[in-house]
Amino acid sequence: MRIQELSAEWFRGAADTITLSTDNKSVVVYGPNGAGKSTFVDGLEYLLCSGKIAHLGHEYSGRRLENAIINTHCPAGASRRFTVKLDGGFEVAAELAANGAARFLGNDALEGWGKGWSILRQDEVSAFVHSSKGDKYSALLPLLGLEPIENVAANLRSISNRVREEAGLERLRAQLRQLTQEWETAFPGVATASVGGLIKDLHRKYLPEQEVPPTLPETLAALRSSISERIAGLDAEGACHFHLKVAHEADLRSRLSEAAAASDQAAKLAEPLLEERLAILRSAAMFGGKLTDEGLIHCPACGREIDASEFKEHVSLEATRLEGALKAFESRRLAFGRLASALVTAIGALSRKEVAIWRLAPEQEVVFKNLEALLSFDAECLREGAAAPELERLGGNLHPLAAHLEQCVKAVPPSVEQVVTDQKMVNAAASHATRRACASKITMVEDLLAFLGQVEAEVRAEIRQRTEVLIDSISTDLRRMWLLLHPDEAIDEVRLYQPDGNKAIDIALRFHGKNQLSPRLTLSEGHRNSLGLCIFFALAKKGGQNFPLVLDDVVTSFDREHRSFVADLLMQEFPDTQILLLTHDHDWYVELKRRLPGNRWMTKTLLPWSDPATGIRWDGKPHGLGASRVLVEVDTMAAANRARAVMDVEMAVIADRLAIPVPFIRGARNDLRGALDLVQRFRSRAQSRFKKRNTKGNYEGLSDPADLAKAAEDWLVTYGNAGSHGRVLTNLEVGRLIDACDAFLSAFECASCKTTVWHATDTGRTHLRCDCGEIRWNL
Amino acid sequence: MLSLTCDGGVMADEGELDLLTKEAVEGNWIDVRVREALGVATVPEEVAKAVNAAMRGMQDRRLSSGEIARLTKEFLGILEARNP
Repeated sequence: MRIQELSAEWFRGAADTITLSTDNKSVVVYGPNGAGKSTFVDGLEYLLCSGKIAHLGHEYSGRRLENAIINTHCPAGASRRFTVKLDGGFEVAAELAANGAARFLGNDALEGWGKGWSILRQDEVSAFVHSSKGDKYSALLPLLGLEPIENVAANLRSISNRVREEAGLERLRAQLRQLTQEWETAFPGVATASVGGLIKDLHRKYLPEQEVPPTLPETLAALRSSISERIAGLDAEGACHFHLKVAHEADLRSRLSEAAAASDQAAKLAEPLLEERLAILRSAAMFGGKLTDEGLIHCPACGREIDASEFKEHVSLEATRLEGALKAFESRRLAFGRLASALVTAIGALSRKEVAIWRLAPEQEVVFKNLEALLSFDAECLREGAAAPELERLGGNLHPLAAHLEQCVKAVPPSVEQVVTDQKMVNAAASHATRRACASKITMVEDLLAFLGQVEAEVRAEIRQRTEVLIDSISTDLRRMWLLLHPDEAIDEVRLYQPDGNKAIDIALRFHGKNQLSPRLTLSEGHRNSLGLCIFFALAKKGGQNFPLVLDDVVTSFDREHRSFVADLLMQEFPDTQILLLTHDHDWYVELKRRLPGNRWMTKTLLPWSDPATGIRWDGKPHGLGASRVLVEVDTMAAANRARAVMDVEMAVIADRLAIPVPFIRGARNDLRGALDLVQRFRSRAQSRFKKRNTKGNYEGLSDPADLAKAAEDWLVTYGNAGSHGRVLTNLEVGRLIDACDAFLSAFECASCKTTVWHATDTGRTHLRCDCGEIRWNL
Repeated sequence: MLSLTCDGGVMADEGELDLLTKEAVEGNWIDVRVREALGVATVPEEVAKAVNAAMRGMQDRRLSSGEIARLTKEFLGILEARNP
């Protein structure tokens, strides 16, 4: 994919339509600070990210960025728009309403073009290097193509949590514990397999004349009926003893004691937990921003400051502690449940009419009073727990009653005691099926959870495996690019790697022979920026080879040597990728102009931005003299200086293209030749080498360029030098200088095809020419 | 084709759920991973198939709580039907 044209209209710094046409080539755009270069980058990001521009998203820009993306002086009714034309005839546009609401047209054509590995801005160069392991992973996620797999893992986790809730796993476990305890009380030390025999024995005891039924449920039903009959047949005293014994067996004092102990234990854990919960709320908001690899961080579990290196262990300990607290609450719930059941059983037994004779006896007045008080308790509410004062009040009534009951049951005859024991066995045996069903359901849910957990672990393994392959591949490109930018330096073996744990990626390198697990340990700021640029290029190579690369002032922190290597890297690594390179660095612009091949690259210059209504403007001439003209009205000396600087740059490029030889000068001056020197050398060769095709199709000498060079040389000597040395110049004088330079530089452009004399690429080594062949330069 | 229906259920064309046979497993990473998981944690084949099919349908996004609930009920429903 290649960009043919970018157009902005009242978008960011643009006023009336400003268009960057690329002719399908890569483009270097030079403009001083604030000239409007980034408007093109912003517009592209706006289209790629469906109306979002990361660096403009803040509290003052408005929900739709309307305060930032629309030119402040946009007239009412004017069109606000950003358009990109692509090869293949595709056009994508965003049309903006005054309130920032955008209508996107044709943006299907941008499918697959990710901003992350396509656009790099000055302030983002080292962002990847400085980001946390998790952020690095998140940044690479779309490139790694792992988002679908991450979705699967996250969805599996959600389903597991939901299964746990939906099946009521904790409730089932509590129920099973209670049933098991009742079983163990009824059949202490008896193997489950022997219980059937005991029940058969009971059947023979209560129903000696009947055959034992073939199934356990039938046997239990017969036994229940028989025991009920036996109880109903007891005389008044025996019935009273029976129910007193049942009430006593409920063991109210033990149950109350258990509930109180469990409550105390839970309370001990709950109090600090509540405080910590508040700390969690306070620190959770800060957590995301604080999670770095170094220094102290606020733990979201306890709120304390923990050293990052100890964080994992700390979280694990906190998790264990919280799990312990949860278990304590579960024990408390169970204990209160058992207390409530015991109370229901005891009160039920003591409230029966058969016990009235005991309950209403004159000497039992205290018992009666306590029993009445217990009846006022809502046993079902007790299952949810009770506060300490309520438990104390319960104990005040329960203890005297239980103590008295203990004395009374000593008079219960063994035959009645046996009936109570037998009934308990029958009831426990009858609950066996429920207990088994409960255990079976728990096993079923746990198996499902184990499976889902294992599948999730497998999915994570898949992610890790794929990440490994991809980052290995990226690392190979990264190492090669790093060596291009930093040949012969003692920093090498740069690579991405996966630290322990999921969702993390980091950068390792070797520094003077020592392995380093982070570039932040040893690299300078400049090297980190350079590394960031290499990583961006490596990612771009992996993810966006088919899409244009946009680089907005990315070498600001590079020295001249390394800037130069960036140009090498671009030409070597991205020969077929269209690149939009924006810079405010004039020296680099000159270098790029000189070095980048004209058949694949073009250069453009923006005029300084003056006001919102004027907006962004191209320098009308490709060589930058337009900026000098803008300065004439403001500062004639600066305008003259600027014109001379442009000529220095342009002549260096022209001399290079036309292969004009210059004698060697010892020292640095060899690389710093001025425009005057080069113009003079051009003049001496122009007459014999600069040709124009005549009407018969033959090439003949062309005198105009040499004459124009002479005029430019004269005015450069007169006014260019004067401007450089502080002499005040008039507007007219500077105008002559600029006109002469402009005319001379224009001589290299064909009047017919508008391309330069060195533009054509298929001329062999004998000459250069424009596209149509109207003008040529013999080598 | 296996996919997640709009109400969160799993829809599969007939004959496409032979994930437990080696032949069907090799081509798709989800099949491979589910089979690996089955080697460690055991569930009935119908459940594994349902989880497998759901995984294929859940790659494009995080599911809503409604969809999670429906899938949960579906998996538990299969298990309960086997253990009434």
